[in-house]
Amino acid sequence: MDDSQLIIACKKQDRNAQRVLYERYAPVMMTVCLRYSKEEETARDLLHDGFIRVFTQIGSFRGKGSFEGWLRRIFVNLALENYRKEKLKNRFLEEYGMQHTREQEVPDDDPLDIGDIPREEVLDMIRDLPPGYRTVFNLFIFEELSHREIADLLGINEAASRSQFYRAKSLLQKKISAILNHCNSRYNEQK
Amino acid sequence: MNRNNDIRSDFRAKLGDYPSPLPPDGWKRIEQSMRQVAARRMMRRRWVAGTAAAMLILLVGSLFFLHDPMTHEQPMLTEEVISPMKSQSHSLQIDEQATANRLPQSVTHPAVATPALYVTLNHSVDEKYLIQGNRSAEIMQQWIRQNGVAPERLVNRDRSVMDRLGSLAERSWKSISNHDDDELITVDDRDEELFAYRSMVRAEDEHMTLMLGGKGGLSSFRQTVNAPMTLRSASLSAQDQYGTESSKNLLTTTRAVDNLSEMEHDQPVSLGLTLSKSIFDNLSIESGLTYTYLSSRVRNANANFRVQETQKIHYLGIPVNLNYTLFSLRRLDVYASVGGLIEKDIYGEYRKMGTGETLDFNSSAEEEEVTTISQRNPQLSVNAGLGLSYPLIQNLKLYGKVGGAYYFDAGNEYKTIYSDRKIVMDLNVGIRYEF
Repeated sequence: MDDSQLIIACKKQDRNAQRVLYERYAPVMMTVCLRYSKEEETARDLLHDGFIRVFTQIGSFRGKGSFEGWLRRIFVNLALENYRKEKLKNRFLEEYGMQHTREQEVPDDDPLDIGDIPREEVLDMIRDLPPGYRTVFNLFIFEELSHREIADLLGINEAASRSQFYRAKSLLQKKISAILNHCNSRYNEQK
Repeated sequence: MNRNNDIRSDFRAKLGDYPSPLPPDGWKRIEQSMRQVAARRMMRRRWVAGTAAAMLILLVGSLFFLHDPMTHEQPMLTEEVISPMKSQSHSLQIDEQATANRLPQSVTHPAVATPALYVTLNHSVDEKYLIQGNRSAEIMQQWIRQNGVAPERLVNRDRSVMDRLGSLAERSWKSISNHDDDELITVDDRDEELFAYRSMVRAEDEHMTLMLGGKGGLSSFRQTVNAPMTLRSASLSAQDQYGTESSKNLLTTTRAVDNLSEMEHDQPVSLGLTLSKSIFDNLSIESGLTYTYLSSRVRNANANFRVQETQKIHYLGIPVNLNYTLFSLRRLDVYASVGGLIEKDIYGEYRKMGTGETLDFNSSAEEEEVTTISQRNPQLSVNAGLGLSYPLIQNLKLYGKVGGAYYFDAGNEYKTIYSDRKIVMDLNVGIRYEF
């Protein structure tokens, strides 16, 4: 059953079709959820809520554009809603304190070489970032939004978005270096 | 930027289609939730359909009631329902003969399959004339015109005849809902006396009902935005006469772009004591006194400040409702209700707590403000609902009603669920005592 047939069946609330769709797309969407969540439990909840939203709102998918893109937007939006709720719950200070750093000149030319690092490690590195950094990094890298768009979406200023992205990159760079050094030392030991 | 594009490409290549392991009970949980969603959707559909049906019935009922021939100035006034069996055995023979003598052929029809109307003059009660249909007022007018029967010709002050006619009228009213039966209509000019007689008879059936109930809103309100919010709708204005200078400063500070605000209105809770009086068959009017408690809160925060406002307002209101019993299933009555409510706050409290740091992070400040508040204008609303009532013991009944109310904009200073949500669904339960 191809995607278009699957979508038609899901629009009729066919439970078997919904299951097929879940099995087809859930693994990749789980990665999206994990990218935005530190806790695996949170990612599972996002995955669950996201598919409920997909199945209840699939009637609004008109077939224009990629279905996977439409799915991905639902999960990203859900992750952002969760992020906002968490900010409220934490009374804003910790997260916003970091966001409210002074505007600063952010170098754009720092490289991030992840070529030899396994996928799981890369995913874990992103998940280990502080929530604000992680959200900005994900939106900039994977959703390909500009800092202006991210600022509008998160209700922060553009400079704060740039700043957080820079800090996220710096943290990732340190982790990548640590991993590569660890690998190199193990390689040298084996040699 | 090129570097950033490279990073994008690298990360997307690495994780773009990377499948992560799924939770083992993932699909099972989704399936369970989907069942609940479907059940909730079904309930919502039923509720909408039920409300629409109730409103339609009420509308049609109201129109029917407003066009009741008995409320028009007609020179006729008693009706009696005769069963088809009875009319076939006795009345029809007289009618056919009499009709041939007295009525133009064009309006004379035998009562065979369709309900028929019989007409009698009060000075010769035994004479009955068959005319067609159930639209008694129109037919009577036509018949009187055609026969030149003027009310003045029909004067009859005999008390016994009047009593008899009144009794016939009462019986006809009791069975008027059964339109499958034929009708006997008696023409008389003593409308007022017959109505007076009928009112006297009916007064014995009218009763009062005392109701004690509680109402809980089925709706609450929650909104999260990045722009600063306040429960004082005018307090961001420079000309605000209600906000203090310090609160203005605090809120002005929270206008920063990194602000996050959340406003919540809890579900309203009401208690009421009302009295209901039956005014017509199945129709009663209800009024009394209700108490309502509303609470709301707003949280504003950014990197420097946190401001929380809470508000509690107590209202007293006077409802006026019309209740119409739609049908009864054994002892269970199903009724629809429409009405209005005027409410005025009797006490309100507004509390604001703010904590935060100055922009240079060198000092912090706390602020707490508690004030008694009052809404300027009364709150008007209209409501409709569908209810059930079931007898517990003797005259005591348990009732429950689900409905919704629309709250008109009262232009008040303090925001409530009434001003922000407009339409509030509610559940009303209580006991009623008939006496």
